[in-house]
Amino acid sequence: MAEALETEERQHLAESLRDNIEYIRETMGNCQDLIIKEFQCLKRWPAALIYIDGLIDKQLLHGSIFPSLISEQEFDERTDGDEFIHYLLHEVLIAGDVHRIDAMDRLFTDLLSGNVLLLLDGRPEAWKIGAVGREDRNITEPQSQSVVRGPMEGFNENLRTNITLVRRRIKDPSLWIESREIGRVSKTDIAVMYIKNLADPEIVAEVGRRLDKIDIDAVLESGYIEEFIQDTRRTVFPTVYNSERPDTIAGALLEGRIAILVDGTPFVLVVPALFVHFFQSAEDYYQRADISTLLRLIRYLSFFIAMLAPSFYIAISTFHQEMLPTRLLISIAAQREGVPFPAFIEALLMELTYEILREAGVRIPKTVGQAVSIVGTLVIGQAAVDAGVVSAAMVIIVSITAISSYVIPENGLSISVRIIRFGLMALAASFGLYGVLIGLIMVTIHLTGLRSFGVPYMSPFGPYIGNDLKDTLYRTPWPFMRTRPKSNGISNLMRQGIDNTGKPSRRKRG
Amino acid sequence: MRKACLLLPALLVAASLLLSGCWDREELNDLGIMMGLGVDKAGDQIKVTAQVAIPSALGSNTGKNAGTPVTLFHATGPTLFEAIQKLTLSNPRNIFMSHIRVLVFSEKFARDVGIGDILEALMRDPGVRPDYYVMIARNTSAETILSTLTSLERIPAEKLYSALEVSSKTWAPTTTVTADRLLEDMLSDGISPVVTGVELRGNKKEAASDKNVATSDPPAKLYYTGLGVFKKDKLIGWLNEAESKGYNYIRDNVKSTVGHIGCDDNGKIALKTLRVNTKIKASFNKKSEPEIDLTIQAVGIIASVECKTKIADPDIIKELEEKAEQAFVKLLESTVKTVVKKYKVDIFGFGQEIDRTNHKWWLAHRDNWDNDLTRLKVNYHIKYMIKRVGSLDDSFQLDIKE
Repeated sequence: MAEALETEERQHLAESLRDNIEYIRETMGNCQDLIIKEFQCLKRWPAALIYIDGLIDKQLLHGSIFPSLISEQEFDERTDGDEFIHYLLHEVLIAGDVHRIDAMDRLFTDLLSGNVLLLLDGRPEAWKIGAVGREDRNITEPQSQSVVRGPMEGFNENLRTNITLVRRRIKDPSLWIESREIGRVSKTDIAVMYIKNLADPEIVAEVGRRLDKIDIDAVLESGYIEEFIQDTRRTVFPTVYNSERPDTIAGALLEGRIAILVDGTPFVLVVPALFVHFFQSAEDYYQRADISTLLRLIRYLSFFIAMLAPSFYIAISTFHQEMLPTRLLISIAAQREGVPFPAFIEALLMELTYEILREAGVRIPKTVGQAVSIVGTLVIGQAAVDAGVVSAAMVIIVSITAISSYVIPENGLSISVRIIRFGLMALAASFGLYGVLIGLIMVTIHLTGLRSFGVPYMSPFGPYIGNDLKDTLYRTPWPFMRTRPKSNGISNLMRQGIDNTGKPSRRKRG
Repeated sequence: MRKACLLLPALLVAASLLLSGCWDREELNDLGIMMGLGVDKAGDQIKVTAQVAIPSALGSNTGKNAGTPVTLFHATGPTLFEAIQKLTLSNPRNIFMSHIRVLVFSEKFARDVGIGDILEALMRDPGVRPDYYVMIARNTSAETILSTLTSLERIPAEKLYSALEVSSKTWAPTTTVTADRLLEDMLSDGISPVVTGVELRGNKKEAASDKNVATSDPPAKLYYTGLGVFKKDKLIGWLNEAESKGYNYIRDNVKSTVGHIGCDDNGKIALKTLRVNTKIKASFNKKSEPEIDLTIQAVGIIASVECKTKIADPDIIKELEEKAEQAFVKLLESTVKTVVKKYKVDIFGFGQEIDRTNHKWWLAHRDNWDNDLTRLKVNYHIKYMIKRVGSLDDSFQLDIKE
């Protein structure tokens, strides 16, 4: 798998320090940030420290590693290589993680991962001294999934930090982490995280299998992994969940799901991902159950509004005018008076304009963003209506559609809704509500046929798992959420003790 | 090759589906929304008047002087739909009939031709909702009624609709007759339909002009007057206001209304009736002749006392209740008598009730029912309850200093 890029290739290190240094220099093209420090190790043995400037913790190197390597030690003149190394490892470099390397490709990987390498003359091996130090973004509030109540920390780009953030929430030895390296060139660290007693071992194995199959030059974001491991590409619905919230990930792990952390991105993948998961926000579990239930229902409602509002408008206003109350019909007819396009074209025009504005809003530099948004709102909201190009009712429909699509907590699903919307609009324009219904039936059939890592996507609705409904359309109060969802194939279902409702004990008075 | 085999049928199916779509597609601004339909007699043909809304004159974003809110189109044809289709001769838009609010027949048409054919045609059309009100243009043509402009409700058909709805709820002599109910009454055994009459009063020449809405007291106004009595599908006569009221009490159509009873000293006490509940029961006496028991329970409050009666006394209230009950009996008796004697039709549904009690008897007598009706005995059981007397007890007029 790990095929290096260069044509002429050396498998192992040479004995001569000079040769090795030359080879490394040559392979890396004499680059500026490759630092090679030659010195007499313990004032006796010719050696070299090799590292990449900027990838290592300089303080560690100059404050402790380097000084101890050049310190003067009492030696027997006859000490040979093995004894010297033994002494070096056990008396000098006692702290930190030190490993022996003899393969050339391994050497480069470690070097480029930010380790310091120690090479000794006459020995065909290198010693990796862990001193990774890089500049990280601070742990900040997650941008994509913000909450009003709940922890405000999100993952950052450092895999180690991210693992720590989860570990801090689950202090149990059964939280297992399997590490992998994916990407021929990028050699990205990937960690598969799960709770041993909760996650379905078959799904864990399946995750491993799918990850091992990936053969790609680089993995720059977890999206790469997602597209490789998803069950099918023939769907607009996301079958892998992602989050940048450690608490969400911890919650998922505790439900027996499996997290995949990728170095270099704050977005952590979770599998299996079911349809209902995309409607769950971290906040649902921190707020009282009645509030969460209301919010859940609003989310499902907005899911349907975002998907159906324009197609319903088209269908009703071009096919089923008799369905509108008379006064509403006249008021809409009055607005449409003089609009030159059919309702479908009008809707398409406005939806496209909105999508363009949205996309521009993401890309636009912050400094000019304001100007563009003013132009956008004026063009869409005011001028288009005043000019009689579109009707005011259509602007209302497009706005409510746009806003509704952001109510869905996970971005992936709201994008799929936006794609489906256009299809339904076309169906509505040619068949009316009949077409919309056909479209919805097709979407339903498609959804029930999907699977995420073998788990039916629409469970617990279809297949119906009554026990799991407690965290779907509504959220049951915590004291009654005794068991974990069955859908993920968990063996250990009990989440809580028997009597923990926290009610004051009812003692008879007097 | 295999792929092409799959692709071709798929394409054909998609094409046939997509091409067959859109056939009944119609943009909102290509529709002439018909609000009211008038039917007049023109020789031996049908003259149709369509009141079509002008959306641009009705929208909220248009100025005040946007012209008339509706426009009329006329066409004449041997059948209703031929005439309606011919409307396009003068009308740029397709007539859209789902939102008809009122169907107006001229009195002449209803008397001579009968409303059956028109209702048949409209009920058959799946695009027309049968929830519009049917009414008869009294002493005038349907066209005149529909051409009258109205204030407050800018669409005249809408005004006719809501005015009838409101008054049927608060004023006993009017009632709403929707097309489906009319049809039901026309088809059911033992009951004949009635239809509200509408009349244009005042200066008829200005009814259709802007002037009718430009002044605070429009020169021409639409009024609902009495109920038209039908035999089969033809109009045979009218009920006056009192009879209409009696009819509505018997048919349990009254929601609330106001009436009055006289007091001892020639004054009046107005009673506001809040709830009325009527039950018609048929029974057979010893000679096995049918009898009708009419039970009415009404609850009312005193709306005004325009005499010296001291209503603070419970006994007086009792007396008033009895008076009200007597007035009721009188009203109902005269209504039944007039209808039965004058028109010889059973608009009250007594026959229906007898049919429910004794089907065999009914089968033997139904063909001659309109004559048997005159001999039918009706027993009245009225219970009027005065629940409240308002914010005053005895009228302060007793204490006004001379």
